[in-house]
Amino acid sequence: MRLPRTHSIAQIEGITVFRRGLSTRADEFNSLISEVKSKKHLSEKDSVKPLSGTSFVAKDNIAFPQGYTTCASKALSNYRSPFKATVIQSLEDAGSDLIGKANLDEFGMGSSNVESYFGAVINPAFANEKRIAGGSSGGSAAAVRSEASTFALGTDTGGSVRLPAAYTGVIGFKPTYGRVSRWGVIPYAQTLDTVGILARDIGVVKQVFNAIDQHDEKDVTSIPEEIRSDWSGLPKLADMKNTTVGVPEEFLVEELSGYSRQVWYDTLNSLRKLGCTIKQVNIPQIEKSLSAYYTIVSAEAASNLSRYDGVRYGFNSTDKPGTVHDIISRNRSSSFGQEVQRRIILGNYTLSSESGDHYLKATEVRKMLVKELNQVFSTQHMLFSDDKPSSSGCDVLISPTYTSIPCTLDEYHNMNEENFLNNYINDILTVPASLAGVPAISVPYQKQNTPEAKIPEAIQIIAQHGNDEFLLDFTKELMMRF
Amino acid sequence: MMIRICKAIRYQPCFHYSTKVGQTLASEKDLKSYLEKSMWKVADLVSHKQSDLDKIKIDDKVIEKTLKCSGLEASQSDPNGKKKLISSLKAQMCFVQHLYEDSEPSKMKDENKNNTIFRLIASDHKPQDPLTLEKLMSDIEKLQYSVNASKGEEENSINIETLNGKASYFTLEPKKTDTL
Repeated sequence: MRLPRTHSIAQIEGITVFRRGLSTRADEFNSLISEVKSKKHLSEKDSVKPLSGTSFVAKDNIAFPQGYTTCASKALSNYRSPFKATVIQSLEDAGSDLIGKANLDEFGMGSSNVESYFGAVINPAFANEKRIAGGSSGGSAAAVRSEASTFALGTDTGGSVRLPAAYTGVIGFKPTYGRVSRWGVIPYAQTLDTVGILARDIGVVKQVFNAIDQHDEKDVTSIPEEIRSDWSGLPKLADMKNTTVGVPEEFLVEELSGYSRQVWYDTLNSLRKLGCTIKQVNIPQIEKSLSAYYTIVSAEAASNLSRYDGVRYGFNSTDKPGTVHDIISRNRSSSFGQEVQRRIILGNYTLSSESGDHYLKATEVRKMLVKELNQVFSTQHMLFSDDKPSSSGCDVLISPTYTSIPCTLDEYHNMNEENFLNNYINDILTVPASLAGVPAISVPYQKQNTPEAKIPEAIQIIAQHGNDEFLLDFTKELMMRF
Repeated sequence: MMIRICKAIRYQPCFHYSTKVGQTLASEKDLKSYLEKSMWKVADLVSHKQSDLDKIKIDDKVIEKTLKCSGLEASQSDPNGKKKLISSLKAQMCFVQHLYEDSEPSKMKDENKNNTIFRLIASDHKPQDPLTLEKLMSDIEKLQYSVNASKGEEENSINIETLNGKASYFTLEPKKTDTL
């Protein structure tokens, strides 16, 4: 099947905006950092490949040898990668064209896409006010929403694809950890980082996933072929009405807005009327998931970002002489943003002997969360053959994607100044799926007879480890019916 | 009307709180009343009493050490930079303490073993055949034929013999010891 191109390349080049001054017109949403001029695949007119005729943008923490791969950081603002990420290669092989590198929170650290060296991304879903697009893949989401490309690649560490997708009213899919290669993806927290897909159409999401869902020997975290072959025996979606949907009690948080609850209710009630079984479930570790998540990501970020010294590559401030330590500290202090520096310091302190063994404890919580989910789902986790699934368990879990609507840029700055931990609150609904490495998708919700909903709302659907196909099929059915 | 269930009550032994697939929400009424509840408040995780913050001992010395470990300088432009960092670290530590709620003290004495770190990597949970010396030697033999250009590897791009003397940091030289 050949997918329709949303815009011609000429149109795209006209409407996108590039921070490096390469464009002739302004990108009103600041969604892209740079353009990619290679149009190699356009010359392949006669070949019909699964993604022929489509275009995509990739978050700028995914390496591509042409131009720069900046991670939206001053530290890598002059960095040219010698590598091409496997995921980009796979998409090019499938016939799609990379047309730009998308804005993000610096190194993926944030839920707003305000913390970028190249400026904040503005949410295209709000016509007359400057609201955050969500992060950290806010540029990818804004590019898809504004129809600059057919789809976009983002990375999801704790919700970084799903949250901006929900805030901008597009689909955001985080596959099972290890299904899509991370080779060439600049690491933030390597035990959680997952490449995700953003698009306006669920059919596109499925086709893109098919193109990038493969084992990669260059990525040590890539799920091997032996386990992938086991997935062929997983149940397929036969009929929606035979589906059991779980509703985690721990997602019933006081911060959930009335509107989010209404959307949650409407979705579940529609499924109930269709014949689905709706069950309440308890997953106690969800309440510790935020503390576990931020302990793990801070520690891993501190380790991963220690490589950026500005000596071998990256931003170098060579104006003053000094010792090696002085030069490196000066380079790093003048090139990392405030949020990145804070997380590095928090991570190193968390790992220090003064602080305690919090990283270990956080991974224990993570293990318990996976065990609890194995008791809730009706299918087996392929990495844990000892955990037998519950015959009365659930096929999917459903919740809202976020607790409250995207704030304005001013509100964001005020909230952050008051207590930087406040920004963690909205992650409570997305972080558990990341910690457990299970697939999750955010689907825009639009109530029938309200075609121009003012505020994008979204529903999150979570499935068992490896059940990505079931999740996508369920989502497609859901979107077709409601 | 929102109903918030007190966390303290939920954790009492008579209200055993564990993983479970609960009852079916069969009617509109069941569903509505279930979704109207609020079980807890996320903001409680990130708000702390001053007395809790005061219990955490982080001083200038710790900050200086952490900055040095992080390869960062104290902010020159902000005289209160260190105070802000101390405040951030204390808040983060209070937040991290929620990991230990309602859990028994760890029984492990040697907590830093690598195999105690939980990861979602297939080889951690589905171990393959153990690596033998023969397999290792065989892999080394094959190494020169497995050059992968996409990883930036180039065949014969490094001649280890020419590195000696020119760039001594590439190779280890035997330590010179005084002879008796």
